[in-house]
Amino acid sequence: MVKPGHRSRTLRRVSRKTPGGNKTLQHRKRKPSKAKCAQCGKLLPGVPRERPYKMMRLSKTKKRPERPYGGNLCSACMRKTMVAKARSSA
Amino acid sequence: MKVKHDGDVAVDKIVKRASTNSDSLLEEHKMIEVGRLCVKLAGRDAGKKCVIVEVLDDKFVMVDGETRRRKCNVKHIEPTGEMMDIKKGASHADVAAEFKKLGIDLVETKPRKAKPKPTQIRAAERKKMAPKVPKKKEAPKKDEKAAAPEGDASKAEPEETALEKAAGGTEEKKE
Repeated sequence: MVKPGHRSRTLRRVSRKTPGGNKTLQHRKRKPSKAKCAQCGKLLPGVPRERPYKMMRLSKTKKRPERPYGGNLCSACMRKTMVAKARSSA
Repeated sequence: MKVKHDGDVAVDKIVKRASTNSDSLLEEHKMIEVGRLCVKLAGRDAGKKCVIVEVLDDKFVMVDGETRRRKCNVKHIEPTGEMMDIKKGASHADVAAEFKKLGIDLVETKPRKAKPKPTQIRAAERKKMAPKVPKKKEAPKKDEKAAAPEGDASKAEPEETALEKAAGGTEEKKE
Protein backbone atom coordinates (compact mmCIF):
# COMPACT_ATOMS: atom_id res chain seq x y z
CA MET A 1 0.00 0.00 0.00
CA VAL A 2 1.27 3.44 -0.87
CA LYS A 3 1.37 5.65 2.18
CA PRO A 4 -1.47 8.23 2.26
CA GLY A 5 0.78 11.24 1.77
CA HIS A 6 2.14 9.81 -1.48
CA ARG A 7 -1.17 8.92 -3.10
CA SER A 8 -1.72 12.40 -4.49
CA ARG A 9 -1.25 12.91 -8.21
CA THR A 10 0.37 16.28 -7.63
CA LEU A 11 3.46 14.16 -7.00
CA ARG A 12 5.06 12.35 -9.89
CA ARG A 13 6.29 8.78 -9.63
CA VAL A 14 9.85 7.98 -10.60
CA SER A 15 11.01 4.38 -10.76
CA ARG A 16 14.54 3.87 -9.44
CA LYS A 17 16.83 0.90 -8.80
CA THR A 18 18.51 0.87 -5.40
CA PRO A 19 22.17 -0.15 -4.85
CA GLY A 20 20.75 -3.43 -3.46
CA GLY A 21 19.16 -4.12 -6.85
CA ASN A 22 15.56 -3.54 -5.82
CA LYS A 23 13.23 -1.36 -7.76
CA THR A 24 11.51 1.34 -5.77
CA LEU A 25 9.08 4.10 -6.53
CA GLN A 26 10.14 7.59 -5.54
CA HIS A 27 7.63 10.37 -5.24
CA ARG A 28 8.83 13.76 -6.39
CA LYS A 29 7.24 17.18 -6.55
CA ARG A 30 6.26 18.48 -9.97
CA LYS A 31 7.78 21.54 -11.60
CA PRO A 32 5.52 24.48 -12.41
CA SER A 33 4.32 24.86 -15.99
CA LYS A 34 6.15 26.96 -18.60
CA ALA A 35 5.43 30.67 -18.80
CA LYS A 36 3.22 31.77 -21.69
CA CYS A 37 2.83 35.00 -23.66
CA ALA A 38 0.17 37.22 -22.12
CA GLN A 39 -1.37 38.06 -25.51
CA CYS A 40 -0.99 35.11 -27.84
CA GLY A 41 -0.37 32.25 -25.42
CA LYS A 42 2.85 31.01 -27.00
CA LEU A 43 5.48 29.47 -24.73
CA LEU A 44 8.00 32.07 -23.64
CA PRO A 45 11.67 31.22 -24.16
CA GLY A 46 14.20 32.46 -21.66
CA VAL A 47 11.99 31.95 -18.61
CA PRO A 48 13.03 28.98 -16.48
CA ARG A 49 10.42 26.82 -14.84
CA GLU A 50 11.52 26.13 -11.31
CA ARG A 51 9.88 25.85 -7.94
CA PRO A 52 9.90 29.04 -5.84
CA TYR A 53 12.86 28.02 -3.68
CA LYS A 54 15.05 27.84 -6.81
CA MET A 55 13.59 30.87 -8.57
CA MET A 56 14.33 33.03 -5.54
CA ARG A 57 18.03 32.22 -5.82
CA LEU A 58 18.27 33.16 -9.50
CA SER A 59 19.25 36.69 -10.41
CA LYS A 60 16.78 38.89 -12.27
CA THR A 61 18.58 38.58 -15.59
CA LYS A 62 18.36 34.80 -15.48
CA LYS A 63 14.60 34.75 -15.19
CA ARG A 64 13.62 36.75 -18.26
CA PRO A 65 15.00 38.00 -21.59
CA GLU A 66 16.73 41.39 -21.55
CA ARG A 67 14.02 43.18 -23.52
CA PRO A 68 11.01 45.39 -22.82
CA TYR A 69 8.09 43.13 -21.85
CA GLY A 70 10.58 40.30 -21.55
CA GLY A 71 9.01 37.42 -19.67
CA ASN A 72 5.54 38.84 -20.32
CA LEU A 73 5.12 39.04 -24.10
CA CYS A 74 6.71 36.96 -26.80
CA SER A 75 8.99 38.84 -29.21
CA ALA A 76 6.34 39.02 -31.95
CA CYS A 77 3.67 40.46 -29.66
CA MET A 78 6.18 42.90 -28.22
CA ARG A 79 6.96 44.21 -31.69
CA LYS A 80 3.25 44.64 -32.45
CA THR A 81 2.86 46.62 -29.24
CA MET A 82 5.84 48.84 -30.10
CA VAL A 83 4.51 49.50 -33.59
CA ALA A 84 1.10 50.42 -32.19
CA LYS A 85 2.69 52.76 -29.64
CA ALA A 86 4.90 54.43 -32.23
CA ARG A 87 1.99 54.97 -34.62
CA SER A 88 -0.38 56.24 -31.97
CA SER A 89 2.03 58.81 -30.56
CA ALA A 90 3.61 59.95 -33.85
CA MET B 1 4.89 31.47 -60.56
CA LYS B 2 3.49 34.85 -59.61
CA VAL B 3 4.59 37.64 -61.96
CA LYS B 4 6.29 40.38 -59.93
CA HIS B 5 5.59 43.95 -60.98
CA ASP B 6 7.78 46.93 -60.06
CA GLY B 7 5.49 47.94 -57.23
CA ASP B 8 5.58 44.44 -55.74
CA VAL B 9 9.37 44.37 -55.71
CA ALA B 10 9.51 47.49 -53.55
CA VAL B 11 6.86 46.02 -51.27
CA ASP B 12 8.74 42.73 -50.96
CA LYS B 13 11.60 44.60 -49.37
CA ILE B 14 9.46 45.36 -46.32
CA VAL B 15 7.86 42.15 -45.17
CA LYS B 16 5.49 41.59 -42.26
CA ARG B 17 4.52 45.21 -41.61
CA ALA B 18 1.48 45.72 -39.42
CA SER B 19 -0.56 47.44 -42.15
CA THR B 20 -1.69 45.48 -45.21
CA ASN B 21 -2.19 48.45 -47.55
CA SER B 22 0.51 48.27 -50.24
CA ASP B 23 0.54 52.06 -50.72
CA SER B 24 1.47 52.69 -47.12
CA LEU B 25 4.18 50.04 -47.35
CA LEU B 26 5.72 51.84 -50.31
CA GLU B 27 5.55 55.10 -48.40
CA GLU B 28 7.36 53.52 -45.47
CA HIS B 29 10.13 52.40 -47.80
CA LYS B 30 10.53 56.00 -48.96
CA MET B 31 10.80 57.10 -45.34
CA ILE B 32 14.03 55.17 -44.78
CA GLU B 33 16.41 58.09 -45.29
CA VAL B 34 19.18 59.88 -43.42
CA GLY B 35 17.79 62.04 -40.66
CA ARG B 36 14.50 60.22 -40.21
CA LEU B 37 13.45 59.79 -36.59
CA CYS B 38 12.52 56.21 -35.87
CA VAL B 39 11.47 53.99 -33.03
CA LYS B 40 13.25 50.71 -32.51
CA LEU B 41 11.00 47.69 -32.47
CA ALA B 42 13.26 44.81 -31.51
CA GLY B 43 16.03 44.07 -29.10
CA ARG B 44 16.82 45.53 -25.73
CA ASP B 45 16.54 49.04 -27.22
CA ALA B 46 12.94 48.45 -28.27
CA GLY B 47 10.66 51.45 -27.79
CA LYS B 48 13.52 53.95 -27.88
CA LYS B 49 13.93 56.76 -30.37
CA CYS B 50 16.75 56.80 -32.87
CA VAL B 51 17.87 58.61 -36.01
CA ILE B 52 18.97 57.05 -39.26
CA VAL B 53 22.55 58.17 -39.63
CA GLU B 54 23.38 56.25 -42.78
CA VAL B 55 21.56 53.97 -45.21
CA LEU B 56 23.84 51.01 -45.86
CA ASP B 57 21.63 49.22 -48.38
CA ASP B 58 17.98 48.33 -48.89
CA LYS B 59 18.00 46.08 -45.83
CA PHE B 60 20.35 47.69 -43.32
CA VAL B 61 20.68 51.08 -41.77
CA MET B 62 23.10 52.74 -39.33
CA VAL B 63 21.24 54.06 -36.36
CA ASP B 64 22.11 56.28 -33.38
CA GLY B 65 20.29 58.11 -30.61
CA GLU B 66 18.76 56.73 -27.42
CA THR B 67 19.80 53.36 -28.78
CA ARG B 68 23.33 52.14 -29.21
CA ARG B 69 25.14 53.28 -32.34
CA ARG B 70 24.80 50.21 -34.53
CA LYS B 71 23.80 48.63 -37.80
CA CYS B 72 20.12 47.81 -37.72
CA ASN B 73 17.69 45.89 -39.93
CA VAL B 74 15.07 48.03 -41.59
CA LYS B 75 12.43 45.58 -40.37
CA HIS B 76 13.34 46.40 -36.78
CA ILE B 77 12.63 50.14 -36.93
CA GLU B 78 9.40 52.03 -37.31
CA PRO B 79 9.88 55.39 -39.04
CA THR B 80 7.93 58.29 -37.55
CA GLY B 81 6.78 61.39 -39.38
CA GLU B 82 9.61 63.54 -38.00
CA MET B 83 12.90 64.39 -39.60
CA MET B 84 16.10 65.55 -37.98
CA ASP B 85 18.73 67.83 -39.46
CA ILE B 86 21.69 65.48 -39.65
CA LYS B 87 24.28 64.82 -42.30
CA LYS B 88 25.13 61.35 -43.45
CA GLY B 89 27.56 59.68 -41.08
CA ALA B 90 27.12 62.19 -38.27
CA SER B 91 29.10 61.54 -35.12
CA HIS B 92 27.49 60.57 -31.83
CA ALA B 93 28.17 64.06 -30.45
CA ASP B 94 26.21 65.70 -33.30
CA VAL B 95 23.33 63.31 -32.80
CA ALA B 96 23.34 63.99 -29.05
CA ALA B 97 23.17 67.75 -29.69
CA GLU B 98 20.22 67.35 -32.04
CA PHE B 99 18.38 65.14 -29.57
CA LYS B 100 18.85 67.77 -26.87
CA LYS B 101 16.89 70.23 -29.03
CA LEU B 102 14.00 67.80 -28.90
CA GLY B 103 14.38 67.62 -25.15
CA ILE B 104 15.82 64.12 -24.98
CA ASP B 105 19.08 63.83 -23.10
CA LEU B 106 21.06 60.87 -24.29
CA VAL B 107 22.41 58.65 -21.56
CA GLU B 108 26.07 57.88 -22.14
CA THR B 109 26.58 54.18 -21.75
CA LYS B 110 30.02 52.71 -21.94
CA PRO B 111 30.49 49.04 -22.67
CA ARG B 112 31.53 47.22 -19.55
CA LYS B 113 35.24 46.55 -19.51
CA ALA B 114 36.08 43.00 -18.65
CA LYS B 115 38.01 42.92 -15.40
CA PRO B 116 41.44 41.34 -15.70
CA LYS B 117 41.29 37.75 -14.57
CA PRO B 118 42.87 37.32 -11.14
CA THR B 119 45.91 35.15 -11.78
CA GLN B 120 47.49 32.96 -9.16
CA ILE B 121 50.93 34.34 -8.41
CA ARG B 122 53.29 31.73 -7.06
CA ALA B 123 55.10 32.39 -3.79
CA ALA B 124 58.52 32.50 -5.46
CA GLU B 125 57.29 35.07 -7.99
CA ARG B 126 55.68 37.09 -5.23
CA LYS B 127 59.04 37.34 -3.43
CA LYS B 128 60.61 38.70 -6.58
CA MET B 129 57.85 41.21 -7.08
CA ALA B 130 57.49 42.43 -3.48
CA PRO B 131 60.96 43.85 -2.66
CA LYS B 132 60.98 46.05 -5.81
CA VAL B 133 58.45 48.51 -4.41
CA PRO B 134 59.66 49.12 -0.84
CA LYS B 135 63.35 48.87 -1.73
CA LYS B 136 63.85 52.66 -1.72
CA LYS B 137 62.38 53.08 1.75
CA GLU B 138 63.98 49.99 3.24
CA ALA B 139 67.40 50.62 1.68
CA PRO B 140 69.03 52.07 4.84
CA LYS B 141 67.61 49.18 6.87
CA LYS B 142 68.93 46.69 4.37
CA ASP B 143 72.40 48.22 4.53
CA GLU B 144 72.46 47.69 8.28
CA LYS B 145 71.37 44.08 7.84
CA ALA B 146 73.86 43.52 5.03
CA ALA B 147 76.75 44.85 7.12
CA ALA B 148 76.42 42.00 9.65
CA PRO B 149 76.67 39.09 7.18
CA GLU B 150 79.50 40.22 4.94
CA GLY B 151 78.73 37.83 2.11
CA ASP B 152 75.39 39.49 1.35
CA ALA B 153 76.73 43.03 1.37
CA SER B 154 78.66 42.51 -1.85
CA LYS B 155 75.51 41.24 -3.57
CA ALA B 156 73.32 44.02 -2.19
CA GLU B 157 75.54 46.92 -3.31
CA PRO B 158 75.51 46.54 -7.12
CA GLU B 159 71.69 46.04 -7.17
CA GLU B 160 71.03 49.14 -5.10
CA THR B 161 73.39 51.43 -6.89
CA ALA B 162 71.89 50.48 -10.25
CA LEU B 163 68.35 51.26 -9.09
CA GLU B 164 68.93 54.29 -6.90
CA LYS B 165 71.66 56.36 -8.44
CA ALA B 166 69.72 59.55 -7.78
CA ALA B 167 68.75 58.82 -4.19
CA GLY B 168 71.38 56.26 -3.26
CA GLY B 169 74.42 58.48 -3.38
CA THR B 170 74.34 59.04 0.39
CA GLU B 171 74.03 55.30 1.05
CA GLU B 172 77.22 54.57 -0.79
CA LYS B 173 79.02 57.09 1.36
CA LYS B 174 77.65 55.42 4.50
CA GLU B 175 79.07 52.09 3.37
